[in-house]
Amino acid sequence: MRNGKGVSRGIAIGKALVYDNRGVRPTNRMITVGHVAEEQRRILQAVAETQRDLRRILDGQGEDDKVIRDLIEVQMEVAEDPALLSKANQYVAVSLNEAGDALLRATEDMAQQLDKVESEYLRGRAADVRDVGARLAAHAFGVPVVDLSHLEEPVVVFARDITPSEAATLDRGNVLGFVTEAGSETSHTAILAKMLEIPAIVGLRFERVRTGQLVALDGTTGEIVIEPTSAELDLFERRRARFVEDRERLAELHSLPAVSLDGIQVELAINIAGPQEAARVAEVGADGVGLFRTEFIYMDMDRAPTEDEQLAVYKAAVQQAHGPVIIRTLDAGGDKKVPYLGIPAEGNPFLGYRAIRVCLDNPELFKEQIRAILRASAFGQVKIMFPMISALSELKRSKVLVEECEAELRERGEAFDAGIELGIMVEIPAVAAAAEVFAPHVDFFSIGTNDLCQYGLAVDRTNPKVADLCSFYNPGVLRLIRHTIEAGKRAGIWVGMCGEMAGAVAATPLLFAFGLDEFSMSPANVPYVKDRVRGLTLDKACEVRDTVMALDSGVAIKEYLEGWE
Amino acid sequence: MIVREYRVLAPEGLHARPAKELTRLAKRFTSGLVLKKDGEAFDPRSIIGLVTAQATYLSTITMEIDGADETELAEALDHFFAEEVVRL
Repeated sequence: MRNGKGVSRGIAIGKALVYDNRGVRPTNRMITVGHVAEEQRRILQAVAETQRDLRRILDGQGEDDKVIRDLIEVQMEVAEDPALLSKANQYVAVSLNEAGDALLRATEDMAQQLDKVESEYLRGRAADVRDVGARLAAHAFGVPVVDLSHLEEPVVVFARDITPSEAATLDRGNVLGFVTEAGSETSHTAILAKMLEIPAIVGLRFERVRTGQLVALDGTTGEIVIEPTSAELDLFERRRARFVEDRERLAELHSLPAVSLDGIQVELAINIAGPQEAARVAEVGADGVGLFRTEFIYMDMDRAPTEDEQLAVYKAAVQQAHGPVIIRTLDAGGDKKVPYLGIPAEGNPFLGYRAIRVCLDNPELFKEQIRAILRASAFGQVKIMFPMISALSELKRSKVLVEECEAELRERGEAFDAGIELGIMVEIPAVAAAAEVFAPHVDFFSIGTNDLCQYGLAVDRTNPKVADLCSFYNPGVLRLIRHTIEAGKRAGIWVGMCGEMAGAVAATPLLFAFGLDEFSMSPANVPYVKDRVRGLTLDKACEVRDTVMALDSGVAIKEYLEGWE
Repeated sequence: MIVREYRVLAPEGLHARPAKELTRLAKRFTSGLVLKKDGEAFDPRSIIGLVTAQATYLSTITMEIDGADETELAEALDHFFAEEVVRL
């Protein structure tokens, strides 16, 4: 069994089809000088034919297939790129290559330029250029353009990458799965496979696979077996049956609320780190964004972003979210470096100068962000959340700054939500233990279980030697969580959670019994947690809670919860 | 010659889709057009060149516009960057 990166869930079992560059190979023939003009004409003709192909593929797409339409239009631009064509013409005139070879070489040159850029997303576009090159060359050679539109039988496709024009013309009924070498979450294969709901694995080199061999793959875990034994085949078949059953059940939940059998409703939200991810709220059937991490706006820059620059980002998130968005103010320091803030190297960065401590020390920087968040609240429901609060004085000073910002915006005549909710992350054990001290001063708590575990158990979760000890099932950690929730409820505020625990299905009954109001998690976990909530009653959940609270170790608690139902 | 400076405010940067729109826009005009970023020059009528320029979020780019329809092209660019990205 081998492992790549699973990017599109599901199980595929079937014959392999190794699909390589549309089957186009260079001829390596040289032409004579007398044929240069003719071969250059052939290049122009290949461009025209390629444009016609792509236009036909584009016209075959629905108006709503915006993603695929855009990607095909990008390929059309690539096919007539002036830099590309002048390179190809040169290869004909100077190296005396045939038109097809010249086009392959020129596109490969351009693709290699893109291979070198920093952004993973832009690097992925090299696949578009290579694919256009293969199509251009096929036309120049006068051979048919091979694609995946007519397959003889169901297959698992092995390719370097799957490009949009391929996906658009795909024989969907006969493609069981994709395995590609190009490897990232943002590669075309990942995006398209998810859209088409075809299991896929990326980032796997597969020299030894041959067309016709039986393969089994799991797009959730990234596992793949070539020529599986009957025991392995059996395992994948069982997983497939279960996946299909789960998917049908979970799909039906999409537009239903997360409400228990006895009518108690909780809110499910997602954690995001960029505005475009906000669109996933509707996609996964969540209620809003429970944590918008804003560090990315500050990192990789040589100065702080301005209010207007930040507003553009927050506004984009709010407009795409279809629900409230909780924006967490800058959580710099720790393992998140922001060079221009002048955070000195220190022995214990997680215990040092970070998050709210940095912000309160740089009020102008902090206020720039607060004003941007306030202005975004004119475009949809927004809440502000302060990270790493350890003392009430920090919260009070932060609230004074918010009031100052509101006054400044009023003076400037800018619109914002005057009743905007303010909350804090509860991630420092002393705050969890004294939650009742903080509750009267905020509109909500959001429990950050990752840091709460790290600080509560004195475990550096980035150190593999001790990371195992960092479990939110630890009885001490659970008591801190329970106390935070109950203290919040007594004070009449709502309590959420945005750490990993919120997305762990095994922990759902326990958190539900504690009275958690909002669960914020990675988008992919939403359907599973919703499914779990919809199967609960408060009585059943309280039984689970009482059993758990009587157990004396994290290991025993985890085992009990994972085995429950 | 007209010189314009823009800051990329689209969080995803000037990636493939906006680059495609920009290329198409530039092709409607005849004036010479050069994009400069960090001192390097790129051809905005080449989509591959544009993407290679790596005009990521918050980067600053300069456009040099020179020719018969330079005023119209500059206006069209202003309009484009006001929508996709915001002018300095």
